[in-house]
Amino acid sequence: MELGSLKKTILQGCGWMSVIMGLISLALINISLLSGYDGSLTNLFSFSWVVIAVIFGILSIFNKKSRSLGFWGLGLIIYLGLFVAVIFFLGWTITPFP
Amino acid sequence: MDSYEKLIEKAKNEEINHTSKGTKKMKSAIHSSRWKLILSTLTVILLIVPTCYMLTFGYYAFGTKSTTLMDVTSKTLYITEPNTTLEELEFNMDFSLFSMDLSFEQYKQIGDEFYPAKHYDLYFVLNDLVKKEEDSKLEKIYPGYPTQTNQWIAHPKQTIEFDNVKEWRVLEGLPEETVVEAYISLNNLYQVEAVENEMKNVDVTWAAIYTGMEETMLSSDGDVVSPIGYPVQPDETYWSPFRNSASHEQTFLEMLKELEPYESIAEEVSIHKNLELNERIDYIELNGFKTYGVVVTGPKKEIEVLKELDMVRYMKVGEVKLWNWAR
Repeated sequence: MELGSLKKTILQGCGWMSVIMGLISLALINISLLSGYDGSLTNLFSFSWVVIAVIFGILSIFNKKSRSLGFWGLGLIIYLGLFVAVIFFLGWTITPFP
Repeated sequence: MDSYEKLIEKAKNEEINHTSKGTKKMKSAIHSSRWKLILSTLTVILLIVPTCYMLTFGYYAFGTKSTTLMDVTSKTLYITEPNTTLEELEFNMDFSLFSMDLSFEQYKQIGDEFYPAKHYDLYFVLNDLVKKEEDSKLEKIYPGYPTQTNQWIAHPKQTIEFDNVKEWRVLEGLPEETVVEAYISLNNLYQVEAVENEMKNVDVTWAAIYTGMEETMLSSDGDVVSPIGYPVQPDETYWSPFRNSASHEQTFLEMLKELEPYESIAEEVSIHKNLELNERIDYIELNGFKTYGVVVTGPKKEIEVLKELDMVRYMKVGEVKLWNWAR
């Protein structure tokens, strides 16, 4: 396999991994919300999990063919971050107890 | 094979290779597109619930606030349910899709101590109360469906449904070592302070305030109303709207005004279905605060003594507990 083709395949793989990792995190949040499981959301997907997904997403942006996958994966992670922030801050506002 | 035939053969082979590579590429593109379609559909589906949760939290933070619903609930209970109090830390809030579950414990002062009276479980969809569950620990249940005459506290011109003589006999038959909660109807309208001065050896816990419609218990529209009033004893609970209140009467009036914009929610929360706050606020502002009935608690013997007071018209025995009066 040529080097260029190998590089393209690896970056595309990174893009797919980023999307799949984002979707798994999103699925876990859905399960948590729908089941009423009251555990901390951060326990469901660890910080390192998110960092790996972000790295995969960023790597895949460098190739034109895998760029859309990279943005997709990064979009999912950004959404998750927004979700955690909104739930944390608004949750603090709407529940006036310690 | 001459050179011409060789050239033709080579061209044919190249054509075959080229077609094979194109088919492979096309298959790969179709495969990739199929997965992209599946995962993008999955993404959209998985975004629905978290987004709805964020909208729910946004609604309870910036729309009808969860704290407003909690305040309306607690204030409604303070003014409509005689001799009751709530504890802040007993409140529990749970949020799910576009809804909020509010549960809390309500207490009653009987004698010198507070006892759990009811456990409430209120389920709001946005700001609409759709389900209300009450788990009562009381032995004497206050009338759940108010009529003109089934109240335990009655205006001097109003009749009652319970047997007043029997109630005094029941009280007489109770052991001396008990403390009693009693609903006292007065024979006229009095200042709350005057009633407190007359009933010095017991605690006056709640006073029903005359709002111009208690003779008939009907509003000007002909709707059946129920007594409203306020807790009389000083309340230093951090949560209580009467904490550090210089005048419970003024706090009561302020509470009525605060509840007025949320009257429909308050009527859903309360067992009393018509509050008619506007009419009652106008009357109180014009005529001041006078009571026609109070809830008292104290030793059985001291409650019995109240029978001798000229101002006492009827008495209904509420909850009874073993002696806890440490004064």
